[in-house]
Amino acid sequence: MMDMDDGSDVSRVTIQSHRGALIASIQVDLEARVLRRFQSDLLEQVRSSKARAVIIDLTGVEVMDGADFDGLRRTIDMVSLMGTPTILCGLRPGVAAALVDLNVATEGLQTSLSLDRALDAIAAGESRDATLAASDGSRDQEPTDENPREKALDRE
Amino acid sequence: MRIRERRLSIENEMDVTRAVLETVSFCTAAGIDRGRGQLVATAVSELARNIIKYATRGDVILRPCAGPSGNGVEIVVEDDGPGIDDVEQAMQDHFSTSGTLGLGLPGVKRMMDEFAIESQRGRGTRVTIRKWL
Repeated sequence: MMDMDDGSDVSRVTIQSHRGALIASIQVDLEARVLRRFQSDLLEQVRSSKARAVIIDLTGVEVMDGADFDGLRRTIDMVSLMGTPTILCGLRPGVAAALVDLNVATEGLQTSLSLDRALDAIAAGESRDATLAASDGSRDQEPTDENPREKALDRE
Repeated sequence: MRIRERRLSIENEMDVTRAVLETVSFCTAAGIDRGRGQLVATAVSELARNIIKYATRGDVILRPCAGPSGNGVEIVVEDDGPGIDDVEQAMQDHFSTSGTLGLGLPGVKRMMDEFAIESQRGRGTRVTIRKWL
């Protein structure tokens, strides 16, 4: 008998590293076991890759209910606690409409229309980071702020 | 519109996933546009999850329906579980007896064009929802 909970036969979310970001494309249904596996995979990769940001691409998601979103939101909050920002991208119209109707907690979430725009936002954040570090004259002090862009704006 | 009524048994999370996928294709076959079909499927997901969370088993019935101003889809989600003590309270946002998400009923109502709920303590719950083309 196969233990259904050992996770070995659970479909996994692919996580790729690209231009300093970890990109997770959700192509499968976010049932509880898939989400648990994704959560531990992602947190481990955030730690080991030292990526500047995480992008969760939802282009392939047709339906996301409140519980799916809640699980995803918890994962994003965990990544955030580790000091890495997350951008959600590619929400389909029906998914966005459903999440608003369901009244889920979307406060503080960073979103982008597409994967390209999410990557651009991270690149823009990095260049502002570099400007910030240069104007500080303290290159050894790596900014660990969750939202470097906001900090950069404060100084303008 | 030649689409047949479908009855799906809900006992576990895999059944919920299947019901959601079936709802998406049912709505497409009925001529409902993609975004609205996604709303219907999300509503089914919320209601079917309630079955496995509170009632152990139940059914999702997908059927075409006709109204005064055109056709649509009607979905009945029913179980013979413990029922809802206070339906009025369950229809308020952020009301929950277990966990933080509640039954999702106010959200389901907002996502659909028509929403009806019957629940009797110890007898079960039946939610009927409709979306017009």
